[in-house]
Amino acid sequence: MTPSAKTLDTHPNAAKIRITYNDRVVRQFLLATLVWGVVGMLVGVLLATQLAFWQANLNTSWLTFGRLRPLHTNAVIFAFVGNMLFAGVYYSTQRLVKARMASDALSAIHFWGWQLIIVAAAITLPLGFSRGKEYAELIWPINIAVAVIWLVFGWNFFWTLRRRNERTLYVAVWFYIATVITVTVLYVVNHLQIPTSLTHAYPVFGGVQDALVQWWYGHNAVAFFLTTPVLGIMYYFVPKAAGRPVYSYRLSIVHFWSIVFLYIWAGPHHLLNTALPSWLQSLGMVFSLMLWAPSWGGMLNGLLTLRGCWNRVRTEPVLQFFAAAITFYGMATFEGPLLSIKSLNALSHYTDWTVGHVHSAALGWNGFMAAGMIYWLVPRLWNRELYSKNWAQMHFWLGMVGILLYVAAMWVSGITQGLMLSATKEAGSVLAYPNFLDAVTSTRWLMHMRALGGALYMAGFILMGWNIFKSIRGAAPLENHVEVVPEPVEAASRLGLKSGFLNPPVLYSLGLILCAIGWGTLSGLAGGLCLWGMIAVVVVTLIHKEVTGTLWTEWYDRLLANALPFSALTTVAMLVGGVVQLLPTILMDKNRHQEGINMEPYSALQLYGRDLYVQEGCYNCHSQMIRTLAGDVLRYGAYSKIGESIYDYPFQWGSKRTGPDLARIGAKYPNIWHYHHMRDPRQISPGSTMPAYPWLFSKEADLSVLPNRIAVLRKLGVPYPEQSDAEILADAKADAERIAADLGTAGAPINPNREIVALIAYLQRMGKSNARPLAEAPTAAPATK
Amino acid sequence: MFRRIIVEDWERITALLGWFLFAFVFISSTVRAIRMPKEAVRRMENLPFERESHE
Repeated sequence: MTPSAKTLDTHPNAAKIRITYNDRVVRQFLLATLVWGVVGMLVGVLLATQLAFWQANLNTSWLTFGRLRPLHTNAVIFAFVGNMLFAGVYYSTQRLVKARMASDALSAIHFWGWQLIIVAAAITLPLGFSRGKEYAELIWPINIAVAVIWLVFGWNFFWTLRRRNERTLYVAVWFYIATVITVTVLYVVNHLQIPTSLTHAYPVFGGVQDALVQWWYGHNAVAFFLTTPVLGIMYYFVPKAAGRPVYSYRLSIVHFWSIVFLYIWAGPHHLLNTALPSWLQSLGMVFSLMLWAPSWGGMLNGLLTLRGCWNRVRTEPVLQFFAAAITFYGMATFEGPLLSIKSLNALSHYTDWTVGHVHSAALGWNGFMAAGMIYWLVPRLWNRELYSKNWAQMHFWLGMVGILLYVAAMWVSGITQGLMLSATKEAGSVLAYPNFLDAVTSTRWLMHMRALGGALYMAGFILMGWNIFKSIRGAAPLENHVEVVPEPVEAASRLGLKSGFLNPPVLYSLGLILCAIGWGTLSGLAGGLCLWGMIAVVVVTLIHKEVTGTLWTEWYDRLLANALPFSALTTVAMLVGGVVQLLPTILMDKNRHQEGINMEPYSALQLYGRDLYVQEGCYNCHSQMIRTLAGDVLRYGAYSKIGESIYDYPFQWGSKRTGPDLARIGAKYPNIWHYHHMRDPRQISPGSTMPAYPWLFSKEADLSVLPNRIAVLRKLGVPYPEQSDAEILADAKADAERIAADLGTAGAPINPNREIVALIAYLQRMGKSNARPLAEAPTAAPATK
Repeated sequence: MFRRIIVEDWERITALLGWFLFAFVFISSTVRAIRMPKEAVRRMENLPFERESHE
């Protein structure tokens, strides 16, 4: 029991307790949101500028696009939105469950631990320490810190729920529970890895398995880090700001269960038309389309909460931001499923259209919800009126114009890129724009517009920061308290894990579902029996209900008052989608041929070069996945097979093509071409926006790490032959000397131990897989030109 | 030309599992939400409106 919660009234029937909330941690997270928001946006604007003027990287390694883009995404997701959602969760949870956070110490550890993690990320990512997986780039020691701090948050959160003085759980708390549980599972699974050193590790999944796990994580980071907690914040703060209850509490229930069950299945829509098995692509597409319904249900529920007070939206910045944010949520969740339609995705994927979609959600939904929440909270946390409402409104319009400029630029740019890169002529046999740079140069003016939009949005955000600073300067923080009559969960309505699941409603439902699946999947007698099984379950259910006279809806009502079984049910909901989606591909035998390909592992030097490719973040601009589309095949060669990347730890299929696909770049050009291209891309490709990489020519490759790295890959199932450390190093050196000699002959003498030599070794291997097609392998239809 | 190999037939069951499961959850949560007593709805939707010291 915290010292601030004390009994005021000892009367047995009306014992009130006074609860002083821990708003200190809310204030801390709120201020951190402002600081990290500016950092994340500043890096974003710098990156947007680099796409217009490549010189904006100042020719330094730590400011290149490949290294800074992970910093931008991590800063916006985990630092900006992370701090914002923690502020919102801490503020609203305490009030909704009528209890102070269970532990001030855990709250403080959470806050300071999270800030330290962000600082560690801001240092390591520009230095090139990266896992090479989007939104999961941080290296393994930081991953462990994230997991520990997240568990601290979760522990504190559930402990507070256990000590609550409110019997039931408001829907916002449901969304928070789903967030805590799901993010834990997603983060742990996608960060399973074996370290090779303090700063390097290989993920336990490779190739298609890694792709699937990564986008199961990546998509659900959007769902359960950027969406569900912010929906919880919407369900608490919008009614508070509007001064009226949510439009339909019933709709919010359907919204919650549908979102939790559906989102987890949709990850494969990031891999449409790729080498991912088609049943998974269909699964991802269909479940993404189904998301339209709950997302729009939630959006309408939020907007209609403002019914009767739309006149205030004109004058109150808080409501302006909330109304616009919810509208952007609706737009983004309309566009998301649209882009998940396989045929439309063929046009939009790998282009700026996806970037625009993400930014309309991040800037519009997350950014504006953050602004509305902050403007609403500041007077209540510091007991001061907002310094300037006019500034807040100016922030709104700067932000709005910024988003529209940004998103419009990305739509035009993305559609232009998609159309140009897939356009063919002469009955589809020849590319209309064979030079990739045509798409880059023709959309460059849009990169200026994009940078301007981002800068305007950031200016608005900085204006908010200044407004908040002026508002709270010299103000004494407010210690808010409330007097409540506690309503602890009564013993009669307590529900343990066992009684939560081993009861008639759950068991009969399970039987019905299993019989339905059997009926749908089995044929003949077994299928018929399953149909009769369904009928039997329904009949037995009705008889049981009639005989016992019990109301099974009580089970559901009790579930909502018991955080533990409720959380367990949410976990099951999330796990089912994850397991069903991931398991078949994870169980696949990697050493068996896949689509006619049985890969040879990378040589030692190629592996070192590949790790450099990952470290420099090349995947941020280059894909390694030729899709089953005419434009891709004509431009890059035969479509990519699952087997070709099966030993890629991590996979590098990419998600955006600012430059061309590299899946079959190997042996397309001589070594000297890569040498000059990496030193000065514009010498080879006039108009290119790619950074130069001069440090690769001076930095020595530390080949001594290779034996350990190969040993780890061997543990992961890559069939490297048994070799001594000396043999591995000798092989690598021999390879390097061969490439250096070739470069010397071509007029570019270089020391064989330079990093560029290893990188060239890797680039020349891509698409030249040394694959051993097996006689018994199923023959993939040949790609034609 | 662009035929993509489907790995195993049994994996198709997973899509059906997903469908049945979601359909069941969606229908039951909708029915339950619709049948929720008015008093319970009113109580739940007013939970955010506890008055605090500064209000």
